[in-house]
Amino acid sequence: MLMQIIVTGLLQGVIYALIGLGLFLVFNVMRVVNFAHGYFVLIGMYGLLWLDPGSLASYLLYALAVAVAAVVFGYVIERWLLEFTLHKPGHAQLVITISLGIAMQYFFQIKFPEPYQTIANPWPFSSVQIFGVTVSAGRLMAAIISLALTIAISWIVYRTSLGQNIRACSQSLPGAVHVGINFPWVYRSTFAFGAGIAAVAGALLIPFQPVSPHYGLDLTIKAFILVVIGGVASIWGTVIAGVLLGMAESAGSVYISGSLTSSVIYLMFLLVILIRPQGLIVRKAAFA
Amino acid sequence: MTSLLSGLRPSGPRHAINTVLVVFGLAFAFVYPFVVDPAMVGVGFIALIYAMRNFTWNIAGGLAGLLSLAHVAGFGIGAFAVAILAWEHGFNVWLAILIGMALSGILGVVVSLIMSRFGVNAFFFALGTAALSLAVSGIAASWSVTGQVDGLQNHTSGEGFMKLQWFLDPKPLYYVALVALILIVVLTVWMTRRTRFGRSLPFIREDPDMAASMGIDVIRNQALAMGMSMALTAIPGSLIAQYTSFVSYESVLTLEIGILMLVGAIIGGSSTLAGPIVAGIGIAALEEGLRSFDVTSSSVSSITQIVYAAVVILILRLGADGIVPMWNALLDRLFATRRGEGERAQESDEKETTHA
Repeated sequence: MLMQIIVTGLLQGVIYALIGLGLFLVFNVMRVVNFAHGYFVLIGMYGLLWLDPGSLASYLLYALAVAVAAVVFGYVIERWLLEFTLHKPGHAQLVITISLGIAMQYFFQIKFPEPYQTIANPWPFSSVQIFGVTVSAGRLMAAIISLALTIAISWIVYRTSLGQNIRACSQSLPGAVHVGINFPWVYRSTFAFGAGIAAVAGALLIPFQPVSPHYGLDLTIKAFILVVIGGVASIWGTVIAGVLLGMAESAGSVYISGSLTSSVIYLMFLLVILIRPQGLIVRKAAFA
Repeated sequence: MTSLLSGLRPSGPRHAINTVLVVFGLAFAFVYPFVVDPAMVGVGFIALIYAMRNFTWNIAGGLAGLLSLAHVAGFGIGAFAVAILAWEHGFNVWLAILIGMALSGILGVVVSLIMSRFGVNAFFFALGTAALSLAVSGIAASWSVTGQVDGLQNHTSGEGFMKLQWFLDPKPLYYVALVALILIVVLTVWMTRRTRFGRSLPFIREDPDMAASMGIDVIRNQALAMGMSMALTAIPGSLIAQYTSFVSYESVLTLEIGILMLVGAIIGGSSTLAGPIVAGIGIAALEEGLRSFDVTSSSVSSITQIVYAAVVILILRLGADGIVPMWNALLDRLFATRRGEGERAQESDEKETTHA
């Protein structure tokens, strides 16, 4: 039982971490919590559901295609709907991203009226045993690819010039402007990048996670929880928080019935805010 | 009362026109059930419920600037209070409504105090309150007392004012909703003009640090505003439960309802008193209009939600404040050009919170 909690929690948690990372980057750089982030994951899920890949090659190709589509979509959204609000008072970004999410949710509702669909397992094997726990191929491969992507993202953030610009804008926008960083471009590429990551996560989820339009909001809140619990200091905080959330969920699903699990997690989250508003996993240094 | 009336005395052409509109709208609301067929009275009732919940959301959201998604929990608590206490356990329905309001108000105070740990951050407030709503919704979906996924049905008999139940005629409930809405509006106007607490709220919204430095207890007043706003939001929840005689977590406790309150108040103009009400009535009319276009009922709500979202994005994209402020600006422009007044008067008018 314990092994099952750990294995499924770990596998689910790595995917949550990937979703949380997109929100984390956008929040850190633009100081905007993108309420539509979970719906960007749905782009990946519904995109693959609609394309319905028949083989592994087509699955990977379509996953790449929805990621590119989400990058373009994210870029357009940032350019046309968010950029003009960024340095104005008020909370226009909040209301715009909520409205965008709602519009996407009901668009999916109309386009895909049948709830809780998945696609056929695209991987060449169906399940494996890990420490005596049976894990489906989709879940295992999603976790492995998520982990690889997380490492790739950390490499981008900490080792490339784009990452350097991202971190600069996050630490001090006036400073970044002062040294000649084209910050609107950094904003756009970060937002588009976040949307692309979310869509890839969706493409990885769809073989084993039944999708419904309400799922987007759940994912947004969960990604937000990761960012709060992980703290804004480092992307690893978010990753660890993702694994913790996955573990908590799989433990919860063993001991309490289905829909109550999320309730317990959300209430625990409010408790965490009350006790430690700066996050559980925290380092003093800024995002560097 | 005299001071309220003197506030209504026209101070300019815009004020005069809006006063006439309000009086006309009120008169129309009172005769409405007698000039339309009974099915449309139900639509009117729904419109009033939308208007009421947008308005009560706006006490926290517009006045105090707390963009809350917890209000749907208050709406649901109001509905489940009458369902559990009055329908299942035979309490008086008015007592049940009061208990629902109290519970909802306490929840509002508590969540506001929890979120104040972050300092003042609109994003965190919205997402934290959304998490609370999802938690309450999940509990309602899996707790036997709240009927789990099947919901609760009203099996009580007997009608009349004390039971707040009329089986065939929707008119009395319509008037109860109308009177409740008017009372809530009057209470809010009195509070924002006459009490220190009410007048501190816009100040807190605009500049919490400055407000704190002037000796206003920001956290306490925000919590009180949330509590009051959520307590009042329980009322439309209770009324709609009495109207439909059925409550389930899906009908009253989905986060989408909470988002609709927020978006509705902003479309109408959250800086005005009339805005949320206008938007609430407008959305009910839009839903009814779509239904008459022979759209299937499940798509109706989806399409209205998309329209709603698109309108709010458009309004914000154009840099406007909402329908009512746009209307006021239009009136000002029309009359300012005729009388040769400059732009300055218009700008100063926009800054004060208009009570149209």
